[in-house]
Amino acid sequence: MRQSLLGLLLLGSLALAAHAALLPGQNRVMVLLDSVAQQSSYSRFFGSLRERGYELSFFGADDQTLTLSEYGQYLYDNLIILSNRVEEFGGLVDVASIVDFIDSGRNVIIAGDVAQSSTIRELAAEVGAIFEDKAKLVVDHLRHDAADSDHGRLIVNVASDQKDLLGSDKFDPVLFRGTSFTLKAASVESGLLFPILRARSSSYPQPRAVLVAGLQARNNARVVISGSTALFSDKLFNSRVESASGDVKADRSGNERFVTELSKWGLKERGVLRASNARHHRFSETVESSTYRVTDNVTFELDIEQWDSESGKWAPFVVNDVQLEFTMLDPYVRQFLKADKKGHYSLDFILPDQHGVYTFRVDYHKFGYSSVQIETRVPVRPFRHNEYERFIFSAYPYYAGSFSMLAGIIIFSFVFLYHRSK
Amino acid sequence: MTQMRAKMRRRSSSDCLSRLISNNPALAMVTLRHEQRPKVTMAKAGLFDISLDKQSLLLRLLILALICVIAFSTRLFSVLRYESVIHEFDPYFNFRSTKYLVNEGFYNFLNWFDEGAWYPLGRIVGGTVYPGLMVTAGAVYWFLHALHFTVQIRNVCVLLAPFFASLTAMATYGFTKEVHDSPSAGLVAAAMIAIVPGYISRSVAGSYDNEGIAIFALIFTFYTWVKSVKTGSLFWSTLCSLAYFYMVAAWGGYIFIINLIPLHVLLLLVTGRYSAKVYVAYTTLYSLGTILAMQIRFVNFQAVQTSEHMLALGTFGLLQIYVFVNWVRSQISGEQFRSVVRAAAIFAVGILGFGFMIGQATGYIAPWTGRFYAFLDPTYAKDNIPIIASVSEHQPTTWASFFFDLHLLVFLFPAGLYFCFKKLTDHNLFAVLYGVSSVYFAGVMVRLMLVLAPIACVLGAIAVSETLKTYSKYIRPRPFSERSKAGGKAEEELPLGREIGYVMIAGATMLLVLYVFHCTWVTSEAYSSPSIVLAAKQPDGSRLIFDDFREAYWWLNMNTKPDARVMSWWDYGYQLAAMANRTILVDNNTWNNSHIAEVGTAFASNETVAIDIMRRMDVDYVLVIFGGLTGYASDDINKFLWMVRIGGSTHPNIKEADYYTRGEFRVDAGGSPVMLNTLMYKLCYYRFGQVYTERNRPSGFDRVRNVEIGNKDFELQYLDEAFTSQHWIVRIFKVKKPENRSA
Repeated sequence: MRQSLLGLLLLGSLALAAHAALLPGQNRVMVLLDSVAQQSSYSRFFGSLRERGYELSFFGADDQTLTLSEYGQYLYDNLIILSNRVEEFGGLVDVASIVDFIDSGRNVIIAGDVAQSSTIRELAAEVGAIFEDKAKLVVDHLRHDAADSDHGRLIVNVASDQKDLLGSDKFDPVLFRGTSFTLKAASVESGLLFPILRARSSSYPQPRAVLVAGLQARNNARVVISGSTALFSDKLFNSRVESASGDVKADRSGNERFVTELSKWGLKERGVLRASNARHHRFSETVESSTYRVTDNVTFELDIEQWDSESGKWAPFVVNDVQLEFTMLDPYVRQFLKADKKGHYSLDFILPDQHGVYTFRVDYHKFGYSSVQIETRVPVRPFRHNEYERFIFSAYPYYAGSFSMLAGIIIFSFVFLYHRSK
Repeated sequence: MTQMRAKMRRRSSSDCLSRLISNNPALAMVTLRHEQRPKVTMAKAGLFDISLDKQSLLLRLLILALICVIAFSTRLFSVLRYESVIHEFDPYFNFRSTKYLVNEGFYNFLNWFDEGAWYPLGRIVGGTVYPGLMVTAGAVYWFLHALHFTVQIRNVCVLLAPFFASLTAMATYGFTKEVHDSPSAGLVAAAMIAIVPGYISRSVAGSYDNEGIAIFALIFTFYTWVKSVKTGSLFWSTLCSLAYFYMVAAWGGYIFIINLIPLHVLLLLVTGRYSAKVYVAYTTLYSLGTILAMQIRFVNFQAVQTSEHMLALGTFGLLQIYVFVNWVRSQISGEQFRSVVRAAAIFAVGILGFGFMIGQATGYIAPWTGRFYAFLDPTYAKDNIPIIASVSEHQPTTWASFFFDLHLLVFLFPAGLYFCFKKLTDHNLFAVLYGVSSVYFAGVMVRLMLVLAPIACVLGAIAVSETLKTYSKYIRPRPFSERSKAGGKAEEELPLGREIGYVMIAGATMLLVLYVFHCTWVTSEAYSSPSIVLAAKQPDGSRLIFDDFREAYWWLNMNTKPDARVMSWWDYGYQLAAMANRTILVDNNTWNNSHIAEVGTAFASNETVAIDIMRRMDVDYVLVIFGGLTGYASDDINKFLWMVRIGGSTHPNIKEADYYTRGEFRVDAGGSPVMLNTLMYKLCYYRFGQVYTERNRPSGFDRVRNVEIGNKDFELQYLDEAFTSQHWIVRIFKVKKPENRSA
């Protein structure tokens, strides 16, 4: 009886595992809509999420029972906000609590739109996306879908440099109807914030306006900001594409694939790295040493893995551009780590002949991937008094000199004391 | 500049915070004992009828023993008043390294690489200290433990300086006795040095510093030197080199010895007082002493390479030449001799000059260090090396502090010189030389008063003893036999001789009593505050204790990660390392100017510039000392200009003029905008604008500078206030991590 129960349980968990391709503890999603009824207009998007194993909880954005956490524990791992009208979030949710949610390492997808509320604008500003006060529709008079008369349904191609983020660079043209925003320059410079989808240079009021952007915070939390809620809608998923000028035609827009891939990145299914087993030791030893001596031979090792959502496992991550720095104020050593097929990185090097407190530092940032930052401090001490060579070959003449001098004095004293001249 | 005061690393007499009670029961007890004991022995002497010689020996021993007790107990004010704690700044490092020595053993101490100091450079402690002090304390500790006295190492350290003060008194007795050939002068000198403030300033209980034992080593070396010049014996000169070795191990001031003794030899040579005794004494001392000195890792090859040691080497060579020439002269005729000498002299000078030039050019003979230049030219440091000039104990001495530290001896000193000149000998020439040169040095730097104090005592004692000897003749009833023999012959009695004698002796006694009172008062008022605990007198007469330093250090110790890095101005580095046990960026061992300049720049810049420096240095916490609430004058705002100057010495964009308003350093509304936005200003005055400090004054009234601060309402962008001590003297801020979501 008991065994069969266990078997059942096992079977159940196996069945779960079959499509549980998500990172453990990543599957709870809160979805905020203008009203719960709206979910039907995004059914394809939500369907794809469910298929991938997410548990979705739908709420009206002004629902008075809203709460992200209970007793200090977050109830959700991800948050999708497709409500651009909400003036004030309901319940215990507000902009500050969403910011805390991000700072705790969780992910958020935010979609603004033409007539968005100040709350959404404020939230977007917190992650560095600045919407205009009265956000205008982006139009492109040269390249727009024929289905819209106001030139607002843009036909946009996904740039090929987003391959690492979206997993592919071949997308059908994407339909976009919404507003654009600008990115905070400082955040862009620091590499945290980057555009994912841009309009063409003929767009108006801004050329090459940013339509969708991504933020990867320092704690690897991911935020996707879109200037359009329609981007996620069934309507655009299903539309065929035909530009007004007639040069672009497709039976199906690229929206579904684009949004799916985008959400895979945004909800940490793709490009998630995990570094482990960072350790350092002397060549000959395997145990980590707490302190080294100058000119020691040292090995630094590290395993980097990548989450593979297909198989639901951590897989080796093998690249040749991971650098190790050995730093004291300035880097004394900066070299590429060598990786084997199992994602095991290592580097053998000789410590500099300068004592001090050094830092082993791996600071790996690659577009589309979560960053790997490892810092370990070790003191490097000078030679001990008995670690120097006792006799130096080149000093032999001096040794000879001093010992012969000693002998000479002894002989001289004997002669001086015991020789009596007549 | 009106409000700027020189930085006070040491407590100085002007520090107004501790007005202490001068009536001390312990001192009263000591004086009581002082009166009782001799009576008892006198009675004994009468009882057993001991011979006069033995009586005087007994009396002398007794007086010396009492002097030891006095020397020890007069230094205990701070222990009785506060507690048995280590004082000030440098002693904390010494204490910490002594603990390391005791716990880890000698060899680990020798190889100690301290990764907690000068982050991230680290400091090789074993190679950058004079280990004499730590080894001495360690030896005492081990000795006592071998006898099963389970004392704490802290108490050994606290009481080491008073103990060595007693030894110094003994050595001074010996030195004076040898110099002046009279034990009575020796006794007076010993009594004087036991309580002279100039020496007490560095040797009160808890002042666990190199100087505490080095003065003993210094006087003992001089004692053995005089002894070896007198006797010309290998034994004494070997002992002298051992004493010199101890001095080298104890203090950098050994340079004084290794220049003074050659100078003495040269002077003897020039004045025609050369003898074989001097030759034996000096050659033994130089060769043995130099080899021994080289065993100290910190000195190493400096002992033969740096310019400071060149006089000794030169004198050594000259002595050999002199002896050789004398020998040649005895062998050949006068005519030949003259031509030989001329050729030899030209040759020798040429070779020497050439060698020295080569040495200087190749850097084999190191150039003179800044501190040494500061010796020769008192204004040198002020113009060139802010880091030396910034220390209050490196300032030129004022007349007042001469009197304050020496009192009576200021006047007795020249008198003593007079008595020395009156009967010049090889050995009291040494005392004269020592006296004259140390007066000069004491005038250059306040802290070298310490070197002057012993010789001032010696010369003063000679003067007192000579005077008393002269006049006590008049009042002493002459023994009958002598009276009948001398009759009315040579010693004509002065008219009113006896009365004059009485007056003179009474006057001298009164001066000596005043001296004792002054010394005790100075010790109690000025030199017995641990400066780690501050005290102030309240209007109702009760004492208010400020224990903010220890409170804050302890907070750091209990509330931060063990490897947290704390940035503060260098003054507090040693204390932080010892009490908070946290990694620090700069400390009182100011060996790396650019590292200190980096910290100075961070404090003297605005927050945005400072945060870059702090992140690069991996700083977790910033600690500042602030006296505005309590009126504690030696706080970081008063030291701030030095941070600007030192920072500006490597960072040209820090300009001292930017921090002044029309030549004035101000923190009120008239202060320069640069000044009012520096990191130091903001950290010190953060939230201070909301505080009322004095009645009828606006909020944010700074009680040290006596102004209302100029920039009251500001927030910190990159730092969070982590801790502020009870009286706001220590404030600690935590450096924020980079923003999670933006740059």
